[in-house]
Amino acid sequence: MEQFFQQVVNGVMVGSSYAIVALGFGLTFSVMHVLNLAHPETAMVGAFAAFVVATLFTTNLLVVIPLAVLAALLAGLLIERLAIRPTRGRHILTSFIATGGLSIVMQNGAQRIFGVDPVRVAVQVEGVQTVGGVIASNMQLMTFGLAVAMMVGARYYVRNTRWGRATRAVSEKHEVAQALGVDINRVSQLTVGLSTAMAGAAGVSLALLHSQATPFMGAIFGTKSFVCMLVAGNRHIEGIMFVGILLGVLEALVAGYISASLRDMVAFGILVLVLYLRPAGIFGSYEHD
Amino acid sequence: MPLADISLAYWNTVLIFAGYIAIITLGQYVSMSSGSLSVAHAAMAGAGAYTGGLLTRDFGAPLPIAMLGGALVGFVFGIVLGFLSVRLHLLVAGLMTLAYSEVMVVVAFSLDYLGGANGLTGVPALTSFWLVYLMLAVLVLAIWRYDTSRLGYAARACRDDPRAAAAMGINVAWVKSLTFALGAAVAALGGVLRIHYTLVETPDGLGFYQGMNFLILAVFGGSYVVWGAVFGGFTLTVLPEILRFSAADRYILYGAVLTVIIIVRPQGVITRVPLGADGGARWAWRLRKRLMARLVAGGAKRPGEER
Repeated sequence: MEQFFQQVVNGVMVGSSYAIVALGFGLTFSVMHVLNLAHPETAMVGAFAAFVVATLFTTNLLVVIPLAVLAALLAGLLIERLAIRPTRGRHILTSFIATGGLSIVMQNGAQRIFGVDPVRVAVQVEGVQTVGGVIASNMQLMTFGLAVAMMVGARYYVRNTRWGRATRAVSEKHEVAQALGVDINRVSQLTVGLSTAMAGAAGVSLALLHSQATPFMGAIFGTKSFVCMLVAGNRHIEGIMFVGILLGVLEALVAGYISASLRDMVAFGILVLVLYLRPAGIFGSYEHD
Repeated sequence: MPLADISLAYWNTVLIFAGYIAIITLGQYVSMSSGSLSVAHAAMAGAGAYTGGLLTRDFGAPLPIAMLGGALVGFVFGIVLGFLSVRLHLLVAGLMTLAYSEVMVVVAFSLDYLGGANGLTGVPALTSFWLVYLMLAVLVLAIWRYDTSRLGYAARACRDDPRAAAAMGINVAWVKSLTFALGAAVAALGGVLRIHYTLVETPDGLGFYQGMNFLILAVFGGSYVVWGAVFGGFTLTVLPEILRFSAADRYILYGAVLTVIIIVRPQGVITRVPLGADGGARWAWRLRKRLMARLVAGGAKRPGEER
């Protein structure tokens, strides 16, 4: 039983990172109707920014995390300007390929700069918490806390702020929002910036949890986050969070009890099942094409 | 390395690669002609490759039989997947194909008979340059004819407006599944040719990223004309080879080219009709008109047409 709870705890920690990246996917897709394939690469940018800061300057977390998030945010704004704004309002495959091209550029750019091998991110948070035999490191707890804080922040932004309302207006019908004086380009920047900043934080979390970063870390991680977004439905923040964590837990349980090689199939199994039962995701609504 | 230093054998290899990649991209094109979104064509090609490889290796079948068998398997997988995803939203159907290809990866990994993680090896080398290009030519011809066949028109009607197509008496579910399966069969055929050249097929080649690659090739080239698929498959295979710096550098350039071109020409490089809304195409169309007017001296002009 202890082992079971241990797996669940580990799963929750990884799952919260899936959820944060999936949240960004969903936000960008709901508001801009763009599938940003370069989105997981901004997590990679965050991880490498953490590596650079930790290696060259300081391992103080209060410096590393904000700087990494900032790097991811800047990368996101660049992606927005280069590939999302020019393809807005076109067929979804156009944005898919434009951002896909950028993601190839980013992966190989990172490989060019940092090499193929994983780099060591030497930031450590010491200590563990033990509750009834179940161990959670402070590092895990910190990343989980970060993820929850970001989810709450994103929800507050979308629901309760002026720009959040503009964002929702654009996601409903951008022509009408524009006619009422909403600056769509600014909303686009805010949305993509927020999404990628969150992805950057998730990237740092991953880099810290595994103490390493690789140029291609975005690929498999991004695919699973994407699946999370589709399973949950793109418009439901808590829903995406829930599905992300659930996926993390299920993966940990499958890896722990059945076979580690089946772990990567869990996401797709859930996907097929959910899409069969609820073709618009558990909590509903992909946009109309 | 300057181009002249690269030997003929090297370019032979690159061109054979480009040939079967163009064939698989043609499969992608046929499946997309009815409006399906698929990232499963790498898995379809993989299924074809495994089938064809097993047929020639373990049953001593000649290559034509292997190609037939591979295409048949691709067709069967395609029709099943087509019927499963026909009523789903475009994106969701695309994700269904993603799930399918990931499942195929795991199947190929875990069946020892298929070689597991090492892949299927020991396949005889049967593919030659001329065979690949003969098949490519035959398929281009066949698909070109398909585009103007009843099925081709029905497929495009389903793509452009499924409800209107249904109102015209087209069985949308059947047409979409059938065209998807035909495309899968073509991709599987490309897979059979591939394994008899590379002599190995690994589970990695079946996954999402490979599948996305074929989608990119087709959309980049232009998913509305058969030449688009050939162009996309061919150019984007040869392009990284021409851009010969280090491996990372050439993919950086590749990605940048992809992004720029899809923004400049969102319908793909080659299109049936130049797009009204698209600056570059309109410019090319005007240029063509000017040239035509000059060729046909004082050629008849429709009223309101600019020179």
